[in-house]
This record gives sequence, C-alpha cells and structure tokens, in this order.
Amino acid sequence: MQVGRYHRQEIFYPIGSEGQQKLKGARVCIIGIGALGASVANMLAQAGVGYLRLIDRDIVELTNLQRQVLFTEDDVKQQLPKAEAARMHISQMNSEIEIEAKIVDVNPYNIEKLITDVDVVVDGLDNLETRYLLNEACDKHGIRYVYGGVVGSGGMMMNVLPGETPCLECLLGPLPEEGSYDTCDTVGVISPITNIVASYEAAETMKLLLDSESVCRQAISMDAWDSYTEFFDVDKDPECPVCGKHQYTLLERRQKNYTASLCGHDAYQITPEDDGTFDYDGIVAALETEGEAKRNRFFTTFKNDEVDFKLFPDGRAIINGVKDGEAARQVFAKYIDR
Amino acid sequence: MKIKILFNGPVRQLNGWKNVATIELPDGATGYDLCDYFNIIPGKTRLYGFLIRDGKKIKEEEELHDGETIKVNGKTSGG
Repeated sequence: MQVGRYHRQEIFYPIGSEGQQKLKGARVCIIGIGALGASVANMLAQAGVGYLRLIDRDIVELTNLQRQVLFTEDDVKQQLPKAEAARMHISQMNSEIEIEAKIVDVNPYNIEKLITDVDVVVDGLDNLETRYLLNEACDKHGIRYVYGGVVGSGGMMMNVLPGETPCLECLLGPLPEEGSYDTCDTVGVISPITNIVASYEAAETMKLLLDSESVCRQAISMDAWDSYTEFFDVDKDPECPVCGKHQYTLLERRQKNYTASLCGHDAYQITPEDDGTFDYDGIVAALETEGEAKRNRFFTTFKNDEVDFKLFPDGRAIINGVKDGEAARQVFAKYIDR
Repeated sequence: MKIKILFNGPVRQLNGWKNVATIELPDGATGYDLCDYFNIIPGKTRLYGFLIRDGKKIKEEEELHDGETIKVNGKTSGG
C-alpha cells in the first residue's frame, strides 16, 4: 500500500491525521518573501497548510541567492517578482494546496484587507516600519502574528497573540527613527540564521494552527555564529500604545502617494491609494511615447533622459536614482499621477 | 559593584566585538548607567535593542545588583 505525502507528519503524535486535516483547512499569510518568508512558505507548503498568501513587493536579485531558498538564477534573469517566483516553485513541490501571490507593497491602505481573512500572519519583512504597522493591524483585528527578524548572524522570534501575550512594541520599544538601526543592507546577514529563525516561525505557525499547548509564549534570541539560543520572558506593558491602549498611529497615518525609501537600492517607492481607478494600460501607452517603456506580465520599466522607474499594475512605482522622497514624488506626478 | 555583561550576537560590536565584559558601577546604578558605560543611547544607538536579566527583558530604569549578569540584546530588523 502506498502511503500518503504527509505520512511522516501524521505519525508524529502531536499532529496525527486529525491535525493534518486542520492544516489542510488553514489559511496563512506570509508578508515578505525574502530569506525568512521563502523558507517559511516552503516549510508550510511541505507541511500541507491548505492556503498560503505570499506577499512581496520586490523582484528577485542576484544578491538574494546567497540566502533566499526557492529562487534561481533564471528568476533573476527573468526579473520575476519574488511572490510569483515563490508561488511557481512551491506549486511544483505541492500542487495540492492553494497559493496566492500578491505583488504589492504593504502599507496602511491595504494591510487590513490583506490579513483579515487568515488564521495566522507570518513575518518575513525586511524593515521595522512595516513590522510595526503589521503589529498594529494584527492587534486591531485580533489576528495571531509570528514575528521573526534577522541581521548579521543574529535573529529573534516571538509569537504575538492579541489579548494574551506582549506585542512587538512591548518587545522592541517604540519604532526607532528610520536610519537609526542596522539592516541586512548595512551589516549583512548569513544564511544559517535566516533558516534557524524561519524554522522556528514555521513550527510556531503549525502549532498555532493546531491550537497546540506547546505554542511558545517566550521570545527567542539566537545567534548562529556565537552558537547560542536563549528563551526569555517579556512583560505585557499596560502602557503599550498598541496592545495596551489600542492606539494605531501607523495604521492611521495615511498620506497621498505613500513614499518609502528602499534601503540599499538608491530608490524610492511611491504607492498611491488603490481605489481601483488606476488606468495602467493608459499610463503605459502614454509612457511609450515619452521614452523606452518595456512591459512584462508583472510590471513596466520606463527610462528616458531624465528618469528611470518601474511601474506596477496597482499604480505603485519604484523611482530609481532620485535624491529624496520629494524628487520621487515629482517624477510620480509628472509621469504617472497625471 | 561588579556586573558581568554578555553581548548577544552582532550587538557585541558595541564592546569592540568581544562577547563578555565585566564592569564596575556605583551602588544603585541602573540599566541606563550600564548603557552609558558603553556609550549606548537607548532608542538611538544602532544595533542596541534591550537588556535581559535572569531570562527576562528588563527596562533600563531598573536597578542592577552586585554580581549579576546582564545580557545586551540587539534588534533584528531584516528578513
């Protein structure tokens, strides 16, 4: 008799065949499909989680291949968006589950819509600003959030269970000013730590989906180079603006044409409010008369003597080679938001 | 009083890349004094996240005690 795909997992007592059915019916959103997110997505797909929403705004680049499992040199050549490349590769490994790729920037406009129909949200993000935004959105909607982060050879992980455990802001304090902390772009990161943190995130997600008593309620700090793993307690802060007072500053900070610096890319991203009226075809047609516009399935690249940018169907644009956000907004106004 | 400091991971950069330090602080010193010793400004210094004592995150205003071990933890922003 041929045993099924999940046999080894079903004979693992804490899961069993009943748990396997629960995983099949579960819905998970992974935000950020880089080193952490791609590994987590891979493991949850292997485990048979029935629905995965993979969200990422970026294109696969050569420097990603040092640590981001799933991606190939061919993905780099094809300039595939990470979410789509991950969906494609994971589908080849497990065609029995549903995978939705979202090539979007997560921001105050869209985050609530992206996370409110799933059981657990997993953090694969590459910056603290969006993590703090996610922390607020998850607290507001009572959605369980698995935080994970890495830099250098170190990493951290903590489950955030709204109403029960401390939140990300209880752990890390107020959001530091942009540029006041190191990132993978400034001090690097090594592959082993991303896989260690991703493994904890995937295991905790599975336990949360199964309502396991083994769900970790401590934070974990670890370092792959210094060879340590430490579990520690964090107090839930009654004065915490997010989980204590339910004040959602970032979520409510909506601005016309949301602008973000893309760390390490010498570029700014502008995301307009998506009200469904953006005329992508019309804008691309206009761009074709104003310079070199190359369109593929996922985005259009545009270049002329003065500007260089990528435009996505939802109206988001990545403006390259501009000195600040204001200069990026001027390009956006002239060529896109017209 | 003497305090042993362990630097977790990349944050050891704040201690010349060494993992361990033993420092002398006056009685009644707090986590802020420890931070001062290493020129750490909480919320401003790159890499610095928070302090851990006996398996628990503590606030910088908490008093430290002779002979104890404090861990300096970083913040992890990447993914």
